[in-house]
Amino acid sequence: MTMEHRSISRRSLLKFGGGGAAAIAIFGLTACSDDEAPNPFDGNGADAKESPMLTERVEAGDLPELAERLPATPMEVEVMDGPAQYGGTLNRAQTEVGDAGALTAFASVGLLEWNWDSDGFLPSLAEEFSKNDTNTEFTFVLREGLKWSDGEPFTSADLQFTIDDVLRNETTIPAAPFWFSDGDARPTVEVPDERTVIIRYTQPFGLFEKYMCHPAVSNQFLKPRHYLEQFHPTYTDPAEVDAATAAAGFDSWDQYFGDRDNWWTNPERPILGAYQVISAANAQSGTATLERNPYFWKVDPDGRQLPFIDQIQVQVLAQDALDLRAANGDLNFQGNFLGYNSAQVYLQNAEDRGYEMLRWKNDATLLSLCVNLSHADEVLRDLFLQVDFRAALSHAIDREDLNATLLGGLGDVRQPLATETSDYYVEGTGQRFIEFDVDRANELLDGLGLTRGSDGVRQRPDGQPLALVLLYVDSTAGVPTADAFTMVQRYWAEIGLTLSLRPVDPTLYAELRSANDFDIDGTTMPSDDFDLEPVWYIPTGANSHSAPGFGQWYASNGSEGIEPPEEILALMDNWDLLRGAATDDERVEAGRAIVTQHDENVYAIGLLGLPFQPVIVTNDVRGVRDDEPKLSFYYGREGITKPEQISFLPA
Amino acid sequence: MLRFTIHRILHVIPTLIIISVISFFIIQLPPGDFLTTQVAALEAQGESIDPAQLEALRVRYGIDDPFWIQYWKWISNILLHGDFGLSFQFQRPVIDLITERLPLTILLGVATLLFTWAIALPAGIYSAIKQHSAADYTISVVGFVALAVPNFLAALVLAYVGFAYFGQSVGGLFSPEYVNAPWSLAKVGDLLEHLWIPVLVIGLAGTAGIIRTMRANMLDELYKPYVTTARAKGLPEGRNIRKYPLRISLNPFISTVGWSIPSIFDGEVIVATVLALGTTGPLLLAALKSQDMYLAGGIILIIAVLTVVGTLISDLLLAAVDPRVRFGKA
Repeated sequence: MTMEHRSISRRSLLKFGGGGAAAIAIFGLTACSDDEAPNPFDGNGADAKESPMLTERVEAGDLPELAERLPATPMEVEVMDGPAQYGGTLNRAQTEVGDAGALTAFASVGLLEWNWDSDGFLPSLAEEFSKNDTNTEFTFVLREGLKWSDGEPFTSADLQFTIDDVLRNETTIPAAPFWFSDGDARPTVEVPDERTVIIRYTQPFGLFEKYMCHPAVSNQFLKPRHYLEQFHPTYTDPAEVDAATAAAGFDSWDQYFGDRDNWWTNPERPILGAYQVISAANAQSGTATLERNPYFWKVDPDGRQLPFIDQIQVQVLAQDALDLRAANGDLNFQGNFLGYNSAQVYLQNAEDRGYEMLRWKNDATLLSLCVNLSHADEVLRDLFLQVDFRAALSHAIDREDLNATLLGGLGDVRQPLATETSDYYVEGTGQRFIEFDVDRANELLDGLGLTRGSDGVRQRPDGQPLALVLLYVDSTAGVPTADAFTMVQRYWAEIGLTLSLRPVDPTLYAELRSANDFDIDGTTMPSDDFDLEPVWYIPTGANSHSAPGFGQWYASNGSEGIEPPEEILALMDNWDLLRGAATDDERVEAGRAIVTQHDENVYAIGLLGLPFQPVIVTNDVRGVRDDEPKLSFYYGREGITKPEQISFLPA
Repeated sequence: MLRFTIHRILHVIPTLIIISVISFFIIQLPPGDFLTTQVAALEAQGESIDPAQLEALRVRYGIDDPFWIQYWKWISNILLHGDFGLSFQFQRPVIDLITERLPLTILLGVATLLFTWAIALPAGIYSAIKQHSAADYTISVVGFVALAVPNFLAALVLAYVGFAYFGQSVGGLFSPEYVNAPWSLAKVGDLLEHLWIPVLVIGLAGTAGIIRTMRANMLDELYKPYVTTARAKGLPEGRNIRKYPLRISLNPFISTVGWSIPSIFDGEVIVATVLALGTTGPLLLAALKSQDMYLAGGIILIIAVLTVVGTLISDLLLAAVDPRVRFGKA
């Protein structure tokens, strides 16, 4: 991991500013040089190689020595703000009881992991990773001597079990997820020895490494065979498994297996990450307690076992209570679940309550409008498929006014396309059809033969008035949707278009969309990582935001849905190329072709994006990135700052 | 009396069957099902689920079965095995989820009820005795304001006051350090520190009704001849009131006591949700929002049973007190 560019962070400057220039110079040195690091915590346990909490357990004879717990070559993690001390409980909160996001952020684990810039992989549990030229065979060599949190060895047998008995098993996983399909089949695994794992696809899979770094996917390859075997009928007498299933109140063994395998709700399941749940949030207390994994296999440059913080506590709260908690400085490090609209409250209380509000990036998300390219009504479908029509809609929107009204002019104004921080960014894209130009919009619509009736409303080619319905979920979490769309309604009235707003419940929203029953979809689009979640950009299924009918056609190999026209077929072809790319260059080229096509055709009309994502860090926490990284699902949200290396300041 | 009791109990059975069918039906009325709700939640976070995978899950959970089959599966398991099914959302048996929340729920319910009575009964009596006085008007105004202000708003305002002026951490019945700690004196103290907000908010809102009933009953009795007679005989005023009109005017109150039983169990859904209390209320709301039918159905069924049982108790109490009911057409 490279850290040069962050040798002195602004926050460490602020924090140690009181100590004068010398302290700053020392901290500058610690991070850049390999010399013996000066230790600000002398006599405060900073020499210890493990948490005092674990030392106690070793002395009591409950735990082997540190050397026996670590693998032969532990993974070394650079510590952001220099030597740290062990201990402390980090408080967090969330709104959904079943959301395992705290684990994917703070205890993520994978054979590979994202590098500091999140644009490439680092070997993680695997010490070595190689692949063949065609992106069909991926070989991992695991670190030697890795152990599960209960002290049992982690070997290739665990991966073989996970892949053959869980991921490839049609009972446990009825339909293969996108990252584990190989055409209509599923990939296979071979384990030549205890440390080597080979995963094979028959068709090239260009996104494999990305998914292996994706914290919500990577952990799904890592299941503890020695623990889970007892719940799997292949390994244990089916009658016994059924009896245990029934006793636990489940209907079928796979449900019980899934329950036992759930690292968020089952404290007994051994894990490999930095923290293990010791009491689950789905209990009455509504609070999960996570405790450090004594066998965690990462160390700092001095060979001190990570993580530094002993415990994490996560409480399930309603949104209002969560906001007040955050504003009270009760949450030590939190970005997820904090809304932009509460940023003002956070800022006002920051100094009094002892925390700082950092401005991280969001996942380049943009409130946008997707016209239904596969509309069931052929007249509208033909119209929507005309680039001039979509361009006219885009030109008619006064984004400056929108921005000034809704976000005080701070918002992000562009079309929803991959931005500069993405591989797929294409120079010069993102601004087409964006300028506010009612004359141009009218001209384009006139050119399409959409004449205005006596009431000023344009008529469809079949003579009916051009009235469209905008389907969306009312939300004030980001750009307030109702306000934004009401303004769009007004802008479009200027060009002779009647727009009605239809706010619906999230469930109905999903239903209507997959039934191909909408005119325009108002949605927040993550633009950078469209390869990992293509539903906004490429109609790959009935859950597509821009063309569910074509998506269904694609997913069913042409047996259902609506056959797409040439240009959409071209988009799908590029998607197939991207997915099946044999090399990174091919993948990026296909991705850029998709971006270019979106740019030229403005399939989705961008409105406005939030300027930043608030992240709260209390003053006693150190090691959190302040270089405005992305708070994104794909990078493990807060996990992007490698939370195993954050710590509490000495009290 | 026995015949009356048996009759009443027999009436309970069809009522419960109808309630269970209706509640199970209503839970399923909104569009979509548990899985579509999940998909919507995932999408809001930038994730998506493959439609094919969704279909497979639907078959596995039996979500696509017709209504009657689902209902029969559910109710027969409850009646025959005491099995309330599995919560989709929590992936845990419904009965476990409910029972572990019961102690705190009942604590909150009983504390609130006692608080309401402790305030409302004396206030009602007092305002009747001092009818048309400043105190009478004050009590009525406070009671009505507490009734009219939405509970969740009052809870939020109190929570905000706690945050802004006392730096209190908002939400839950325990501070973070005690949440998963074993019971101790300090934990009980911490519980009491948090318990007052919901008790005050829910309790005050419940006072208005009782104050008005109590006041009206007392006013009916206070001017009856027997009271005047007692007074004329030289009975001290306080003793007179305690001994005669108060006892009689408590009758309607006693006969509705049974109705409080379900409210102890459901623990005021919205207030508990806003304050993140670990009671059954938030569980019910979460279950309804995510269409977790077995969980929602289980809770509603229990509330329904308690309501019916509470009414039964009220009926019996009334019959015990009032012979006219006992020997009526029932």
